[in-house]
Amino acid sequence: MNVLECLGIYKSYATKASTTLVLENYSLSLKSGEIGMLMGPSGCGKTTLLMIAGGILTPEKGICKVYDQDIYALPHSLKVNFRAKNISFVFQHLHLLPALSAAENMALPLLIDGMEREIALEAANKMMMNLGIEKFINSKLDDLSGGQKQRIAIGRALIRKPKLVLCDEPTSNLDNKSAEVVFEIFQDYAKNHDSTFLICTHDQRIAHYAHMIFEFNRQ
Amino acid sequence: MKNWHPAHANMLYVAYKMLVNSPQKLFGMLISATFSSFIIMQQPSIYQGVSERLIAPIKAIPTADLWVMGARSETPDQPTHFDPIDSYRIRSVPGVLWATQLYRAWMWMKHKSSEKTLNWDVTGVDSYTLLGLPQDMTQKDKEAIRYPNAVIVDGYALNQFTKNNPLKLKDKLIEGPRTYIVRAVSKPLRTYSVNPRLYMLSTHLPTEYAQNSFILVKVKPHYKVLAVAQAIHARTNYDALTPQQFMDRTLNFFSKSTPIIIMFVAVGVGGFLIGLIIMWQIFSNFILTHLHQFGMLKMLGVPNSMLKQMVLFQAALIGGVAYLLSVVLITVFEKIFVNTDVACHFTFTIALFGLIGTFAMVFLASFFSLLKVLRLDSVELCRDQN
Repeated sequence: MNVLECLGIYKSYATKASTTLVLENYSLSLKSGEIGMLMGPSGCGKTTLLMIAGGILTPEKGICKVYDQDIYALPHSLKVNFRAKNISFVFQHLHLLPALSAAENMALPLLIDGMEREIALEAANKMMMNLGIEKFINSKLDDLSGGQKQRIAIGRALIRKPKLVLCDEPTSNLDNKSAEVVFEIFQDYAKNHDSTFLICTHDQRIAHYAHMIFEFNRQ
Repeated sequence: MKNWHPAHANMLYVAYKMLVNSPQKLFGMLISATFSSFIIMQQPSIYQGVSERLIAPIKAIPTADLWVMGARSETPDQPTHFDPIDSYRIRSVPGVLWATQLYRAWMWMKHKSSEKTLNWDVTGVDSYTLLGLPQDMTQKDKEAIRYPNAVIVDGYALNQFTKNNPLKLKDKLIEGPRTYIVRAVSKPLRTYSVNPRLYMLSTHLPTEYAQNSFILVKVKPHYKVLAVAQAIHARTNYDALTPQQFMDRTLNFFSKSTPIIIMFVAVGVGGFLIGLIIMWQIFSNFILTHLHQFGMLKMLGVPNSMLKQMVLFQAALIGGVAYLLSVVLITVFEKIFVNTDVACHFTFTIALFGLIGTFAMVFLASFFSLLKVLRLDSVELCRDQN
């Protein structure tokens, strides 16, 4: 069964001077447990497609289905619920909450779901151990490096065991070793939790983790 | 609680952490909200204090059911010139138990030992009932007024004399050829008059000063006070007012003939608006700097209704702390100025009014920020750096 299916997607950006077509009749599909990578140079439309797949940007033409559900057909409140239940994001800009500790940031999706604080933090602590940042459990974000923060954002995306994870340059702040750790966890989630990953990247180091690579060549 | 979910508590905790994580903005918001809340309550408290001082002479005589006066008497400092027969005419009105005259006069008197001459606010009380004389004395007792040439001075009059030449018992006050002796000191009656106050029997009052008075009336049991008041008016053409009516007339007079209410309202509204504008600016700025975080929460599945509660919770926290701070400040203000010319009386009604005003201000200030959060599009998360 296709977890993600995008068919005939068109998207352009208009400025005062001109209109740029970034996606023209683009289609992709990913099955349960697959890791797909959108690879290509900057500005080629990778992030745009990722946002369309997550229901954040609306395409001009085409449809995008997650678990057979056309997310653009959903009214706003249902779309928010659907996204929260099924899709997780790792943004290039991490959007962590500096007011919260590292563990609290990671536990945030569980807290939103209404899980008891202690249980949510315990789950976050486990995730931090998996990501190799367990010694920063009670740290403030200001005390962490860019790579450590990125792993917290990744942990936050995975803690709900989502069905579809959309990542925008998840390794941009990571060294080789950390990138390997993160992708091993992605692989583990894909295998053991049937999570599907769609990852925007131009990092060739991680290409071998992909089940499918979607190349973008537009300059 | 209906629809309460553990997620609410978790998200309110996150909202609290976001708020206290910006200590400078929080401090700025607290200062502006406290300032505004303080002004909202301080101005009515001063007005309340002023009002109470204006009507204090009326309140000091709770025994009387009616105050009889001419139409031109609008305050306790504006007694009426009655004909000698008027009090008898009033006594003959059905339902009147007793009617007695309370004289008011202003006499220049010299304090013999200090040589200080002051314009004394003199109340001439009925020698039989002593009606109009304060109940509580701080030195000696009220029966001392029956001594020959005796006067009882109000406690605040003592403040008008220096420590080197104080006013004390048995001191002499000289008015023309007459000498009066201070026989007792009454508990201070705080009014808005700057003149020192004293009491003497109306029979000791010189004839030229025993001109203007109010006639105090007690109504017989089983008679309706207002009906008796109408009967007095019908028979004498004088106004017979209940103490409450007289207090209202006094306050109306001051509000009509002075800008007192306009000034208090203007300062109160000004304080509210200044607080609102500053709070609005800082709160908007606070929300704007956290907009991406709210967007991320939205993306993680926090519904708009919860985001609304988070923002309102933050506003309510600021409002609540600011309100408590301003209550403390105004209580201190009241204590500091209790014995000064600044009248301030902080009442429960004012506290309630302040609570409503403070929360109206913080919620108004948060309204536009709230709209920004609710209208926030998740696509914003892909644009700017956090």
